[in-house]
Amino acid sequence: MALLRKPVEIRTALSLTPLIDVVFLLLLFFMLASVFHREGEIEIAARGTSTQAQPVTQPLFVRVHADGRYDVNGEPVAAGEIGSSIAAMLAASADLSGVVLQIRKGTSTQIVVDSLTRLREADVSPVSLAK
Amino acid sequence: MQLQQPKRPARQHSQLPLINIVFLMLIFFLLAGTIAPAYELNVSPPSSQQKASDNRHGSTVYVSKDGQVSFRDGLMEVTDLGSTVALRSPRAPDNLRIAADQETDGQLLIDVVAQLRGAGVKRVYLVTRQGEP
Repeated sequence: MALLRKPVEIRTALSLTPLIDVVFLLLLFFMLASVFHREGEIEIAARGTSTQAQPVTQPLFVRVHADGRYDVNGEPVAAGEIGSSIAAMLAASADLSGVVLQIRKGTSTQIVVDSLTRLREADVSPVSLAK
Repeated sequence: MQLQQPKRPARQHSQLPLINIVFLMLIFFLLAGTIAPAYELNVSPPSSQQKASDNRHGSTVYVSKDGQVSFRDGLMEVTDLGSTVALRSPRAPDNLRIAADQETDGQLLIDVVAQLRGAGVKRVYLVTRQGEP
């Protein structure tokens, strides 16, 4: 009977072209969609909005200029030593605790982040921002 | 003297080395990259040596270079940010992230933080990009 006849087997070499197509598509997707830098997060607080209890001591006011200069109590301090000098000032005086960064108009976020990072490296806390 | 070169049979180029390289590249990009988060505004965050954190603190407020503020796909004024955050969530989120451009005015950033704190957000984080300056 015709139905019992075995189908003719055609042996062909497995074609790699569709596989390559798909792999190329995947490669293209991951090349375009990937990012290699990683995100970090730094906590920021604005002055007067802190949830912590208001301390009885005074904070140290540091003015941050738009070009990255710093004034501590009206005297310029080099950017490289801002962390260590502020840490020394806070350690020297028991009346001072914490730092308020007064951000001048036109100061970019990059400079704000640099300032926060420098103070964090010097273990100065709490740091808040003000205009 | 035999000047004529012997004819070589035209060989079909094998595709296998190509596939090997493409596979290697695919595996490299799979392992080395992470899928970029979709930013609502054109924002390139400031760089910092701050360690990358694996846990993201809540949803993100975007602040662009020219002062546009966006939260959950809605553009708004800075002064409306606090009420929008309060409106969009049943209770104020504990943590929020700010993704600001590196050239965003720092004073605008302070306004944004003040708005969020006014809406009852406890902690505010600024998104940074780890590594290259």
